[in-house]
Amino acid sequence: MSFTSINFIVFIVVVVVMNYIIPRTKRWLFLLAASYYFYLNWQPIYGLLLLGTSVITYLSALLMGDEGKPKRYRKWICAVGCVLPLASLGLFKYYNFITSSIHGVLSSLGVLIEMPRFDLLMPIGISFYTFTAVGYLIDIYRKQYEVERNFFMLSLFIGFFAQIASGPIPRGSHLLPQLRSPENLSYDNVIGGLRTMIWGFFMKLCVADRLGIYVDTIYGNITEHNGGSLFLASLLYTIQIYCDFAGYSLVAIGAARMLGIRLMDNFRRPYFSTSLKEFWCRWHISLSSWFRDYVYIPLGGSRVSKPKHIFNLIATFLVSGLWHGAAWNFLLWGGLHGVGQSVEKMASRGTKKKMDVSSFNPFSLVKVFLVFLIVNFLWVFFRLESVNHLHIFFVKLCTDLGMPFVDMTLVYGGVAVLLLFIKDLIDEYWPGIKFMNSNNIVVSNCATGLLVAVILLFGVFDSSSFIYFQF
Amino acid sequence: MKPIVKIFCALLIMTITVVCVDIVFGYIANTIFTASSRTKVGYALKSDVSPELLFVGSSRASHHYDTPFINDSLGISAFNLGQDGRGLTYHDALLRAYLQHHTPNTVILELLPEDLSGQINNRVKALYPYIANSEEIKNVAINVDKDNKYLLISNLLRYNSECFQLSKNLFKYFNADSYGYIPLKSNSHQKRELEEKSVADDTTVNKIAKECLIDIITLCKKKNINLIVSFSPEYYIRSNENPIFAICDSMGIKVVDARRFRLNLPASEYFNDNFHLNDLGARAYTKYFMDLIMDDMRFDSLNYIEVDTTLVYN
Repeated sequence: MSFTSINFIVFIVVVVVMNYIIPRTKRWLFLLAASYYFYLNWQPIYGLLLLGTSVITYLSALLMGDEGKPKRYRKWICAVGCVLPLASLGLFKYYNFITSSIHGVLSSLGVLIEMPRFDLLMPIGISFYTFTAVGYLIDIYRKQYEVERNFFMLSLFIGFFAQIASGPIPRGSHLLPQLRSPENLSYDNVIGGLRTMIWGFFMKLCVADRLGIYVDTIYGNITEHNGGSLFLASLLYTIQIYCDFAGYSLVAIGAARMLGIRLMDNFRRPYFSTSLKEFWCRWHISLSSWFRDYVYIPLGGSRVSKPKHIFNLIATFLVSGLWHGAAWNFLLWGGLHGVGQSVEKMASRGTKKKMDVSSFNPFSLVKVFLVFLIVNFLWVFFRLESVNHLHIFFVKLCTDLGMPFVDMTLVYGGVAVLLLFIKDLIDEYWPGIKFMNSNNIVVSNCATGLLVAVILLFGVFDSSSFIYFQF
Repeated sequence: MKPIVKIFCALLIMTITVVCVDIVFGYIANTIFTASSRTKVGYALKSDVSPELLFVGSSRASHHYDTPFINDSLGISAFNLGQDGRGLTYHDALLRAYLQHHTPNTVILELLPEDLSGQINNRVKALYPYIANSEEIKNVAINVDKDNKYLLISNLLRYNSECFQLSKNLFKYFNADSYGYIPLKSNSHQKRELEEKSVADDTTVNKIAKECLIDIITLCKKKNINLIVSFSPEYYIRSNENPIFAICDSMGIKVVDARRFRLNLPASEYFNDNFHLNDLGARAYTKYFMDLIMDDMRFDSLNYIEVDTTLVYN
């Protein structure tokens, strides 16, 4: 069940109404049933995998929670509890990549060995719920909060429908208490959540999917188009991927908030960043903080020698790249981000400036523009999977920079991007100005109604699913 | 105020806003765009006169059949209803709407082999704005997607992604002297390089597209309209294995396969790109095509005419 389907709209209306009819103490049980119904709508058989991950996580956490056991024992239990879900993730996501890479290396050495392929469809959300489970186990190992002793509650935490397909990746300390004691019905939650969802739909249907038509046209036939079209497509892809994923996250956050559950923010206007470091503090926040807490800091973080620090940065970003996809281009994309941050780190050596994200001055605008261009450049590696296409892209960019191909999609997309830019600009620099969140009930709800009308008129309703579903 | 009452009020305000915008927008759009003669489709649906010859199809119909020449030089009333980037669902819906009030003598349905395959179902979307004028278009839209039964109540959804396209016609009316023909000028800057290539016909069949083709054939037979399926010239060389031939053959529909039609000139002088003739090529092809379909003896004896590559038309 995709977030942009009519089925989901019906589903969320029923779930919200039922959620507030059912007594507070039993809501978690209803949400668990709804979450599994939501998940089983895709591939019912993969519900077993989700259930298996929940069982392993639950048992591992219980065993770790036994106070009488030595630390070494707890460490082993944590390792086993993490490795099992990660192994299933590895099998579905990385097996073919690893075997084909080995096959490629061996072939180049003249050794021809047939590697068996694993051609099962990757379960939706496996990367997300696996990371949720692993994060929970490590937190329990670190004794950051109490073990959840109710299996069904933990299953809901891992499989909560709003976040299971593409995040945000929740933390036990944040989500579990909310699931245990849900909030009462409130105007702010229901209508605020609805508004968040509607803005998410706007980003997805009016911006991402509209720009996606142009991007797919150009990148789908890269040899036919000139450098101007390719550059424009790269810029539009940069906006598309932001709106696709941030749009999904907002729908998830809004849906959860309508139920009285506040998920963590996942995007904070990342293209207003003045450095790559800041970009990663604003982009896919739940994943970035996951990598920070469970990969970067355990490696030593920044409190080590400079070379080790740079190694930690690059290693973390390589893992992040690999998380996004089992292909060399994702690894390269992650690695380049790591290198970029390392260079940034070395360049800013000795200058401990406080990051002032709210200032609006020409110098910061130049930095915003430069960071945007760098991020845009790196998204090209993310989008174009073959080395041949990357080569054509950069050759054409340097030698055939003509007028870009223009069609109606750019007009629709341009208007939507302008609306998005104005909203993000206001939220970034003048957060006091409010339309949809105005205190006046008429103004705020009329503005929301107008936005719905805009979506109906300009949205793309026959598009594919979300880009991040594949991760 | 209790939260439930406040929530209800908020939802009511949102709903009223959406409904008001929908009604006002629908009224303006219907008045300006579809109920008037500003577009080719709007003009054709509103026109009181039925042409003897009607051309239906995508860009290749629109650019290849020189209807002013047919009207002015041959004295046969003809209208070109071809529109860029359409498919069989669109042609079916359009013909259903058009034939409600018009009865041409002959309909020429211009197709490409890929019209029967691929993801072409949503092409009928371009006709949604005209649903207010035609129940037939709505029926085809519902056949393509059952949800349309409810969704197309909304004016905003009917004009979804079409309003800028239609608004281009805000300051101009459809030029009736063109009879729907849109020439590609031989000196156009949009001219593309021709690519020498042999392509196999796509033999996959899209179920809905096939249903639409059969529906068009049945509709024309029912109304006693002579239907000819035509494949106009293209620069690619293709195999002849597409299932459209078999469907037409089984239903007794005449087919003109002129994909290999060539002029005694370098191809770049009469092709705009691999799939489209320019105005020079279109004029020559229209003459040839009209000769072909007006030669009763020759055409009545055969259901399928394939233009040989060796034939060079001057």
